[in-house]
Amino acid sequence: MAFVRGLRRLASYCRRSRVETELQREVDIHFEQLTKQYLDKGYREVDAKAAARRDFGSVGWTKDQCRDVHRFHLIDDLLTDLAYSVRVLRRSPGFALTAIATLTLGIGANTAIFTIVNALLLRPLPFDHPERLLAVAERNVIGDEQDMGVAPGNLINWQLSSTAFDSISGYTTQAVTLSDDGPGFEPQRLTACACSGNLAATLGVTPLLGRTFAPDEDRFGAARLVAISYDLWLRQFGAATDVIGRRIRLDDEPYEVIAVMPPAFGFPRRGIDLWLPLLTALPPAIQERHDLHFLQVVGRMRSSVTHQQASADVDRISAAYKQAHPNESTGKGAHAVPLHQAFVRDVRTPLLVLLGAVACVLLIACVNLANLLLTRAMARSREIGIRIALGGSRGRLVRQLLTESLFLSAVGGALGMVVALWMAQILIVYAPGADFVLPAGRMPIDTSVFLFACVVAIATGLLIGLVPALRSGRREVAGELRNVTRSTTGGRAHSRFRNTLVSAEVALSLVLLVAAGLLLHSLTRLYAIEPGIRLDHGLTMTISLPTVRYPTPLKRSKLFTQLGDRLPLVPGVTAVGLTSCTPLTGACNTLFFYIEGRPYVPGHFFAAQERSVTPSYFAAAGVRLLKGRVFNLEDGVGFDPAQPRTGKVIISDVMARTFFSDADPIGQRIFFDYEVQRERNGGIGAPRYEVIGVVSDVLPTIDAHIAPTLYRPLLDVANSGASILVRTAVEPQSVIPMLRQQVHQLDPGLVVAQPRTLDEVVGRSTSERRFTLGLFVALAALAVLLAAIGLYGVVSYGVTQRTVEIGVRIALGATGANVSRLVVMQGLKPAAVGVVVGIVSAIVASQMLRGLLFGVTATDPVTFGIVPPALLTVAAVACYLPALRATRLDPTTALRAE
Amino acid sequence: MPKPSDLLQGTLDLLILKTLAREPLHGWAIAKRIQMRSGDVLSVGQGSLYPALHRLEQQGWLRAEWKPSDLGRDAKFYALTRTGQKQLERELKTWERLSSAVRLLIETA
Repeated sequence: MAFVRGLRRLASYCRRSRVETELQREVDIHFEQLTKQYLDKGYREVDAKAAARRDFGSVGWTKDQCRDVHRFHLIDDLLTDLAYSVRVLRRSPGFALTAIATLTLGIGANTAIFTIVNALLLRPLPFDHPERLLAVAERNVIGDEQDMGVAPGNLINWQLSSTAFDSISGYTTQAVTLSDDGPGFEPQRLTACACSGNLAATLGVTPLLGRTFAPDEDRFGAARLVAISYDLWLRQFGAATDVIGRRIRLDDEPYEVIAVMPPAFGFPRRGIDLWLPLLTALPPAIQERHDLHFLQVVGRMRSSVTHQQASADVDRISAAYKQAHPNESTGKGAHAVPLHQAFVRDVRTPLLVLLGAVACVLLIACVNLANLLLTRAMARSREIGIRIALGGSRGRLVRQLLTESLFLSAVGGALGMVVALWMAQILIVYAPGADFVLPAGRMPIDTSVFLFACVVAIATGLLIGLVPALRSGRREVAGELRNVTRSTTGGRAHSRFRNTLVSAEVALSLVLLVAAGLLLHSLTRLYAIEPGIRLDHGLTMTISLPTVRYPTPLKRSKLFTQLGDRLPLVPGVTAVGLTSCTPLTGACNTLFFYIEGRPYVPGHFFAAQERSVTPSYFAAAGVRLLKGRVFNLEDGVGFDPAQPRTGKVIISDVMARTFFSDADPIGQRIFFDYEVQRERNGGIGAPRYEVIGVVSDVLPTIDAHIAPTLYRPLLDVANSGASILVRTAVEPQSVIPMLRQQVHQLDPGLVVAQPRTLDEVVGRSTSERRFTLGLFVALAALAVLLAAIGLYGVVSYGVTQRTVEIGVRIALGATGANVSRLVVMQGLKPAAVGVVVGIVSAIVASQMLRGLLFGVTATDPVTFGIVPPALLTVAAVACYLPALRATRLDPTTALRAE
Repeated sequence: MPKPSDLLQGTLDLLILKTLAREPLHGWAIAKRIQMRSGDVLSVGQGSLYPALHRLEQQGWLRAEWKPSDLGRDAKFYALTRTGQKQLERELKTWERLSSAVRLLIETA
């Protein structure tokens, strides 16, 4: 009933001008009739009118009463309050600007981080029915690992036998060189995704132009077709509409463009420019292998199936295969997880922790503003007292004060939204997980971001306004009409409350500071690590040999030899080595092997990381030879597959200790599982490899653990790509042009890509850590600054309140030191409480950071030992400044001031 | 004319509702009728009548309509709604209880 009444009120509010005119008409009629009555009695017109007016009473009052009935109090009061708030704030622009600026930064920062959290964690992937997409992986190939790459044989098995999936696709990424015979065309290195032909169907995307691959176009020997990305279409082809059907050369092979993908499509991550059918370039011998795990797999479940059922389905198929072929290094099972989960696994914690941190900063800012508003409310106590005395209801008063703070937070929120969008665009490039399924430069801003900003703004406004508003509405405020400034019991309760707020601020900022400290310590530990190769004056570049002109390992080996001979001749270069992939960027390859002389149980193999290198690599990299010798030019199985020689390998120290702990590794022989497989399939005997040397360990990446590594001769293995490591005596960047020239002279069609110093390589691998650290340091610094300002404010206010008392003390002989000690202690007490609470909270909160730390525990004594005293020092300084003011008080003026 | 006695707001509501029970009337007519039917004892001031009418309309007990009237121009006619009818019965009952209580008190004094 009240609701209906409210609606009616709303309706008449909206029609209020009409209501006004009607009211006037009604009153006019009545007035007319009254006048007529008097006229009928014989009065003159003028007298009749006067008598009628007398009878009627106050027209204005009547209309007011009627208006009151129609008034929709809420909106009317709100508008009045708003206008009043604006007037009040205009009178103190300094306060208003400070408050709005603080709120803009606080709400803006929170919204920015939330935008990223939303884009990466909350929004579904930009595919059709993304909840049905699963990432499928093999498991338990070697040990207990849950996620292993998928072998092509297994992929094909699943595609044929699975009943739980609508479609399954495999994919892998590789670097290719795009070239053209056109004039002035510089060959480019691009990243391509070799994928099953049905990938577009699995993901549920349709090309912008052209068509998807037909089922029979994804087989060995089919015509070479490619789909290009929207970005590539713009940059390379100028968005030409006739690009479909054009021929381009990838790695010197002709490909026909059959599709342009939509602008928002980047799978499996940003920066992929080309999609080619996987099986077209994969020989059947490789396609049926179940032991080469280099594919990722994504599948679309049937709508009638849960993801546990789908997982069980592929598990069953894999387990059945393993049972039938127990000696193959294939997974004992498989499992599927939602694709989104697989993508964000590493990113979830850092982002959520960041969100927590930025929320803490906003809380601290709110506490400061609440204190500020409290001070202002107390300064306006006379005005408030008068209002209450004149009959203003306390509820109305509370509402008005709240409107003020909500207005501030609304303005702050609106500006903060703008700041957030701008900040988010920058952050998304560097944020953890930036290399994810999010097209570059396009941040999906949707309603949840606006909603978040609104909720945060409202909550902030309520938070900062509620305390002063409630306190102002209390009965004792009426007493403040007498403007008593000496401390009373009310004053003490007030300062106790403020001190609690300050303690809370200090505690929060301590937590953030500890987090930043832990991350910083982790980073210093990381940088202190010896990776195993020399980082100074080091340069790496990648080079790729197109299969068309270098079809055999012999040809490739010859080129590599030539490179190895020519490049050291460049002035400034002291050593050159080639290796199969760039150092410190992860494991190149993992091989499963058996050791000769040990009991041979097929299927029970060892795993080690594998890398192929030229003889001069170890010297160039600064890897020490611990035993035996390095490769010479004759080492290797040779290029006659029918008559392989005994190969040679060099192993790392940890590998020697893990697998050859009881005997001298030199002279022992190993053989590889994949060659045993090949032997089983094709007949060539698996060659043996003799260990000829032991070298010192090298970390796969700067933050990974040491793993057993074995080295094979690059000139023997001769894959089509290699990484060149160059040690220089001069600035490494300066020799790059001449190195390129040397390569160009050898073969103009070769592309040298990604020239980076070794420091840059390490920098890249730590870029996400450094980004997170940078943000945390900024947030912690901001938090400490805000807390210090808050503390300063409270102590300063305390000094003002106690001016008389301090004046008395000075008059009675207190020294400056006594006074300042009094003031500082007053401020340090809540700060100390805050530090203690903060330490406890930090111990709890830092558990969340564990995944981000390196080499330090969550309760790292160094960090916990440095941060609290540092914060207390800052607090002491913040207290000292008002104390200085107190010591300079002239007792006579102080005593007179009230 | 004799000074009209002050009417409680609740009683005014009752009078208005009862007056409109028979037929819709405009403000002036309502005032006149109350005066007449009470034998000139009760006279409703304009300052109380119109706010009361507007309030009763907001409550949903009266419905208003601008119609041509006997005054020579359109006037705002108020009519009783169904819920208003129910409210009238409630008010009558309350009035009965109240007046009998007062009478009891007076008679036994």
